[in-house]
Amino acid sequence: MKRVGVRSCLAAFVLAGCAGAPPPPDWQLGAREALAGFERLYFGGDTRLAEQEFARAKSEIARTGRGDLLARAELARCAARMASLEFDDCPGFEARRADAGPEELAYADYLAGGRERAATDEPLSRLVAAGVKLRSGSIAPPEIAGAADIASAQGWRRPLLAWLGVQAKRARDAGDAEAAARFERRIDIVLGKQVDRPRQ
Amino acid sequence: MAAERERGVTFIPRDLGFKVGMLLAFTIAVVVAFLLYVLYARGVFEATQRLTLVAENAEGVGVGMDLTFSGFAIGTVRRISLAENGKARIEIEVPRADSKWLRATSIFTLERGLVGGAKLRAYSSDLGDPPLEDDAVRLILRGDATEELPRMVATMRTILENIEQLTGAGGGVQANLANLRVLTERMAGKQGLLGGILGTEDNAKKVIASIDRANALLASLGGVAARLDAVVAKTDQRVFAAGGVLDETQRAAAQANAILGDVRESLKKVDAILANAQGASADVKSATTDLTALRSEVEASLRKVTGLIDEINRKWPFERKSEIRLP
Amino acid sequence: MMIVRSGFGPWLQSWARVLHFAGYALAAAASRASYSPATRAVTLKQIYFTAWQILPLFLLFAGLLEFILIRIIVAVSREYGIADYALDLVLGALVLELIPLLTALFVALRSGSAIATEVALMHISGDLESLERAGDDPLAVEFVPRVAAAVVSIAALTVLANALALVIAYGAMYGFSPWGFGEFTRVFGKVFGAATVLGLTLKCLLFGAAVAVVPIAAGLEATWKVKSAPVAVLGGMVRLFFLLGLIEVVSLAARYI
Repeated sequence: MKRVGVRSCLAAFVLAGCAGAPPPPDWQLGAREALAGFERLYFGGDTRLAEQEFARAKSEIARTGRGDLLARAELARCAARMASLEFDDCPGFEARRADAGPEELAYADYLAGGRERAATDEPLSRLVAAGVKLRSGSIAPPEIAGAADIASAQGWRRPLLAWLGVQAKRARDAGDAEAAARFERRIDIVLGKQVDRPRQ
Repeated sequence: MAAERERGVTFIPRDLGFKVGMLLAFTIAVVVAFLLYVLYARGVFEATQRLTLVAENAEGVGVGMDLTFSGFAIGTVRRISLAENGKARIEIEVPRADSKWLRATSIFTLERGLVGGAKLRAYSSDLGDPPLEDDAVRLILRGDATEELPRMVATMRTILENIEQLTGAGGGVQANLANLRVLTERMAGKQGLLGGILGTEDNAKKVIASIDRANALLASLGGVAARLDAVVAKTDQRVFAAGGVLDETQRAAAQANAILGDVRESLKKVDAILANAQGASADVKSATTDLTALRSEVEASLRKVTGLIDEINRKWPFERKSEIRLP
Repeated sequence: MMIVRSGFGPWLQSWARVLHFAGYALAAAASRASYSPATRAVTLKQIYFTAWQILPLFLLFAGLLEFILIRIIVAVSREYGIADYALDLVLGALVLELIPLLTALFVALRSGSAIATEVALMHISGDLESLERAGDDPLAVEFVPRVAAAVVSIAALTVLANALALVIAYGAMYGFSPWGFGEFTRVFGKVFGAATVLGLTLKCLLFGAAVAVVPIAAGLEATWKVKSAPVAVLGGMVRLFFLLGLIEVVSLAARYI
């Protein structure tokens, strides 16, 4: 099983370019940067800007005419959504399935819960793994808390809200009002209700 | 006849002749069938071929015995006679239908166990070999378990004699035991185990002296080793310790890294600037994230996931202490 | 009052008479003159009474006995691990020795006593003399047919009972499958050599002859007194059984010694 996340894959061929070889083509740099921006904005909570970044990434990749890289980008998006507990069956990737290579297909299987895959130490990879597990119903409670911790450590609002929401619901279902309240308070902090925000 | 004179005594059926005739005819038919069957069973209607086996000793073989092949009887002994050279001739009749199992290279054995009669067996290694010819003469291999008995008895006798010799008065066992006694006596003496092995006290003292010298030598060697250790430690210091050779090299490498890191950082800054520029150019109003929208989106996605969470709740119900952790 | 003849002398005399009559019967059987339509009719009637009348009962009895004996032999030999020799035993002991003897005893019991009584009564009532006066030889008209009929009957019954025994033996050893036929034939061939078959035939003939000759001779011993009939018959039956036993022993000795 490959122990690399999708992001690392792109990073790998980018970094390979950096390691003493001729400088990478600018489409690569642009795509890399756009995808990173997408991640940042999406997890931060700016959906519209995130989508714009993603569109830019796709246009950069489209310059090469490589369908498999486009599929890979779609998978990266799907993974990010998976980490934020927004489950769908990756329609973007499905449209590109014909172009996908074996690595991409394997990763798509993994996201769909069809096969297992060890996550790397990268926070995004671990969060994606947690999301896949939740979807397949094989997640254990400590892992839910762990996922929330990862999102919190990175300051990723969206996944943090999602995972905290899961924990709050579980507490409510178990009838533990006090624990539920605690989770709700954290959610409120993220949403800025208890913090003075700069007024625009 | 009394039966005829007094009609009332015995009932004479009209078709008596017919009935008796039928009985006689049936009986005669059975007899003929029986005779034919006997002839068939004796092999009168079967073509047979003759096989003669020559043996040193035909003890245990009788006329009418079967020659078996793979456990099936394929021939019968018809005659046993003594040839001119003193060997026994066993004449066997093999039906042609069964003669296909016997080949020119077949082996015949006469086996006789300790109990029971003799057995004639045929073995064919290769059924593709040319078939056994008619009136063939073959030597038979004989295995007789009872012949082994005298040899076995003789061997047993020899073994017993040997044992007697070994354990006898002047035998090896006694001598060994005597030696063992002397050895243990010595071991019980002043120099103990060493004296026992070496024999005399002087030898034991010599051995002890040499052990002492070896110890002294080791001690001096120990001093040399310690000095070597010190040299190695100093080298260690020079190379590995803070300020040593390796450290310097590392520092140089670290500096190079730091420079590279700086370059990377500045590149990242450029990235960030670009991103910000783009973000700024895109939409000024959404400089800060729209949290209400985010909240509604997250709630929407959580609603979709309710089912999954319920499933997980069923498997692992919520426990406060395991799930609430300080970040 | 019954006069019982006892003692060694009279006993020898009876046997002498038996032999005497046997010789006559043999001579008569060998001569052509004995075979006239009248004698044939008597013979047929005698065969009817001796063999046909009891055929179903006899075959049933023989079949049952054979079935039980064969089953016992097969089971016990299998238990002792000598199942290979079960068939040998069945053929040798049952078919060659036991069945002929039993058949002979059966017929002797039934017809032997009847013949003895019949002849005794004929002798007493003077029928034999009237026959002689009429010009017919009583030996030919009455006795030889009976002897011939007894021989034929015993031979026929023995053959049929033996055939039944063979069928039952095959069934008991191999069931209804045809695969045991080769093995069965082989053992059969081993047991029934030419000498054995001839011996069996001879034994049947001797049994048959004995079953008729001895009772007839005994019947002829009867005096003019009616009361002498049972005595004659009694003596005859004893001698008959004795003779049957003797024939059996001699045949066994001939086979195994």
